[in-house]
Amino acid sequence: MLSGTADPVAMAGSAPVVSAMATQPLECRGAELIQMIYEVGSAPRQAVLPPALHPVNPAAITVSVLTVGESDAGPFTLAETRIVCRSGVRSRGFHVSCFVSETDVGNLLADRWGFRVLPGEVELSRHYHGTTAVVRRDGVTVLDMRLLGPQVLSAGDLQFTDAMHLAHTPHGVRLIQVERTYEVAEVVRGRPLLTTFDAAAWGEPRLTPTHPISVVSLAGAVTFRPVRYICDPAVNAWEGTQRVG
Amino acid sequence: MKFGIFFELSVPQPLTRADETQAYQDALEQARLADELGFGTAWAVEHHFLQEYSHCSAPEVFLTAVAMSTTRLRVAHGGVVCVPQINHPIRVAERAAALDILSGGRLDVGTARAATFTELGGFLADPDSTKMSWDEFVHVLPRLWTEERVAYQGTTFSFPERPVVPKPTQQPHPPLWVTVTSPGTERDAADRGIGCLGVAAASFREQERRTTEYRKRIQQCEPVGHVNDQITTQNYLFCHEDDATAGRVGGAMFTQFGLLNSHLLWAREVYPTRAYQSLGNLAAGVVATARDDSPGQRRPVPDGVAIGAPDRIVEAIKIWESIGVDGINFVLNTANVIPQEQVLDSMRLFAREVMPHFTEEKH
Repeated sequence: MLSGTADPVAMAGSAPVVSAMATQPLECRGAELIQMIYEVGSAPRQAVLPPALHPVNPAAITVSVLTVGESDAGPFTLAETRIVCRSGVRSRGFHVSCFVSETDVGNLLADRWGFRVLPGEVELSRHYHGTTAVVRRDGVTVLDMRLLGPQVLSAGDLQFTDAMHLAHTPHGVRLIQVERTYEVAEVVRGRPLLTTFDAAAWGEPRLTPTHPISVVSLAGAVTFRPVRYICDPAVNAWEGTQRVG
Repeated sequence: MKFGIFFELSVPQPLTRADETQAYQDALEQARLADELGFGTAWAVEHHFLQEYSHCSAPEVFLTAVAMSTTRLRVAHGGVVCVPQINHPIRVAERAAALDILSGGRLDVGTARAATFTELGGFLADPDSTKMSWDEFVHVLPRLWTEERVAYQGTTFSFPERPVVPKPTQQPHPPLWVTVTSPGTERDAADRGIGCLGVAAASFREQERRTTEYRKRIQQCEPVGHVNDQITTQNYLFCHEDDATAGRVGGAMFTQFGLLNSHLLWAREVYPTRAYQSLGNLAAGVVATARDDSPGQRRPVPDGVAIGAPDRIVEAIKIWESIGVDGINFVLNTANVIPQEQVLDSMRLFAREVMPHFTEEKH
């Protein structure tokens, strides 16, 4: 069994500070989401994960863009990259970073759930014939991905994975398990097209997209759940998991 | 009750060629001992690219070696991947017939469709169509073994009329099975009149439901070939005089198998499709329930697993027998967690103290 080899202390240098982990959910209505999964080069697959997490074969990332029409924090748009991995026996995505269009919401997500927020402009266009998502930073496109040729799926065909966010917490540097629930009103799967993914701009230049796996686009509601578990990033999930909520 | 052994040919990290060679040699030694001790069948999976979990990508070669070094033990695919990008059905029929001849009619052919994206994606196979291709394979294989010339026009593959040779030794053809992980596949097996080869350890309750459903439905089957009315389950074996030692050593093997299995990249996780409703060995409904468990929680060894002193194992197998299972296939080791000598001792003790409690019904 392989484990991550990245130094959690070094990784924590760019990790957000969580002053108080979320104890209330953030319910997001009028949500639209595109989520693409892409194989990436396997060479650094252990080097990009802390020891608490385990790589999968082949190495893969999840790139998603979420727009929220209505929430307690107001409307917002979030683009996120995660590395597909395992925590113990569980499927997880290790949060690399995200772009949030609205500064206040970005601060909330960083402070409560440990999102590593970067400033940027995030756009999502969902149409009958496909979905397009674009992220720009300082006017430069760092993400351009599309869903082409949509085919209707049912909500039961989807499998969502919780995320692990590295952050400075009141318990020390920890991986925060970030859980979301989805109410899916409609969902399509299509042909993935990733024309731009600037890995360096996302903060992990070793992620090189190599081969598309899938892309889905959906409309519905998303809830960011209160934090229940954190994990010491230096040891495996069986030794390092702690219940906090 | 029939007892078989089940090979994944796992190899521990860090991967070395020497360890790969040792895994094959250990498995062959286990198969030879199984033959001497009276086990019925040696099953071998077909997996591709699954580092550590399974290095058994050419099972027909491994099974030929088993057949050539044993005299009674049946050899069995558990199962051949019925996806045309991975195996052409004519090549499956040819290889199986040749192995049936070389083994003296001791071959069983399990069929499967792969469940990891690692495998399906590696061959650029379409996950949406594997259920359909599997169905086409199981319908055409018996024809390729029994008819002199076959032409086939299908959805996932087609070929013009050809005489496929050789034909198998067994008449009319080797028994056909389908590997079953997710609930519902037992219906697919029963409807086609083929054996139900459990390859994920099921609970007593789930196995009883599966067995009842299978027995009922196979009465009305539309057989694809010669009916193989058998249902088996997978289990783990570590038998030791001292129950605590068995639990410690065998429990480590059980845990390691589950861990490696959970680290596979299942199709459902990354490729949303109706064709894959289970996440690995977890049924769709169980995934949501499992999500609420602590990530730090270890899975205990469940009831019915053949890890323990002989009397404990006899007790467990009696329950499997009472719910109508025809056979149990045992994983003997995982990634060398158990030293080979202890694996062989476990097999010997099982044969001496447990096997006599059960008689094999001939089909």
